[in-house]
Amino acid sequence: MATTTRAARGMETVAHELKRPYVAVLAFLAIVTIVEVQIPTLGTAWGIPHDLQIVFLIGTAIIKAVMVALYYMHLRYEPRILRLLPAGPLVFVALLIVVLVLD
Amino acid sequence: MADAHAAHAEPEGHAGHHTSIWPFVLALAGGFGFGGLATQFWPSVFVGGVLLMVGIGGWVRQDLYGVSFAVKQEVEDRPFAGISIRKLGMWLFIISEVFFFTGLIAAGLALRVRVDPCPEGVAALSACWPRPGSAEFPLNIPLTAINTFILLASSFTMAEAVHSAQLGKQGHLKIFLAATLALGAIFVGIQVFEYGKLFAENLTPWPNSVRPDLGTFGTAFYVQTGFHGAHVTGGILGLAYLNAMARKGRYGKDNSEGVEIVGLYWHLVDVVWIFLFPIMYLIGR
Repeated sequence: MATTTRAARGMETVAHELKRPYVAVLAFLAIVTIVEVQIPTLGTAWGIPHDLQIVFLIGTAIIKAVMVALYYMHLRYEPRILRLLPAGPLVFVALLIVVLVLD
Repeated sequence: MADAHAAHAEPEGHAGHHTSIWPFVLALAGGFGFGGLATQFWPSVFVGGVLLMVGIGGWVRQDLYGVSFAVKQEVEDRPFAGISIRKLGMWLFIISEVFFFTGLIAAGLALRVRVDPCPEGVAALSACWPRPGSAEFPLNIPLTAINTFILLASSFTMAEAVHSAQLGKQGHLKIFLAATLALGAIFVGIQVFEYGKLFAENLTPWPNSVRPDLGTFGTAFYVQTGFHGAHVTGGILGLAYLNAMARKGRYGKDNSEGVEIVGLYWHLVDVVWIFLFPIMYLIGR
């Protein structure tokens, strides 16, 4: 019965969040992608250092991924423990990057 | 249909028995199949293939005729108390996929740092990594940028489909699910088209005598985008199933979890592509 009550509470939560910024997120993702695509050409034309291009492109990719996870995957509306769960493997991703850089 | 499922639902007291053997069978199929492929022991691959068919068939049959999937179950113990069991399961699967693709991308980066940038205007004599934006770069950046937008748009339609299911808007649900399926199919179609063109231009996953300089780049490109494409194709199969079930009125306010869980997987392939696109198409050596 407790399960049913929690499920009912979940449905109420959903009903309260009728306005979700899905279109705004898509517009943001599209605009950032358009900027990203210019980097190889602009990088050469403006003489942007290669390392800076990499930092920018990986940075924008991380921002886009976080936006998808927060809004499209609904992590923003989930309990804290579920929001923390996907952060776990990121520690290992960081470790792998460090090892690769040292290599 | 949702009511029909609910009507078959077991009594409350039996709520703990909604288990399924088929995920285990599919895990065995993966073990036999990939183990066989890695060791080139073909009987094991055959057993894996048979188990895969049996597993998928059994799972679909259970979903079609079973009763358990209409009943939402939640974890009762801390720290995940109150969270849907199936949603938690999908998140754990997503985490395993993050590990998988991290390893794949890391392997690609390890290959990249072991070759020099390709010289511009002259043929390379040894393995090299082409620079995005140069005339020699073999990949089609504008076409793939459009394809990236298509995949991002499919994530949007998927999120709208989940929201429509949660609100019980059947018409919107069918439209958004069909749009997501169509956009996913277009993404894979464009990728197949690009593969065909690149093969014709001698960019292959293995070394070839015409462009030996691009062998390392080709291997990294096809392995990473190929595994991603395979995941998208798997998602398309899931979406096809959702579309068929939605047409039968399977999903609604009280039974939207199936749409949400496939949606989480679909967004995962979007997130992976968000990283793969700049890494393969926009960042040089």
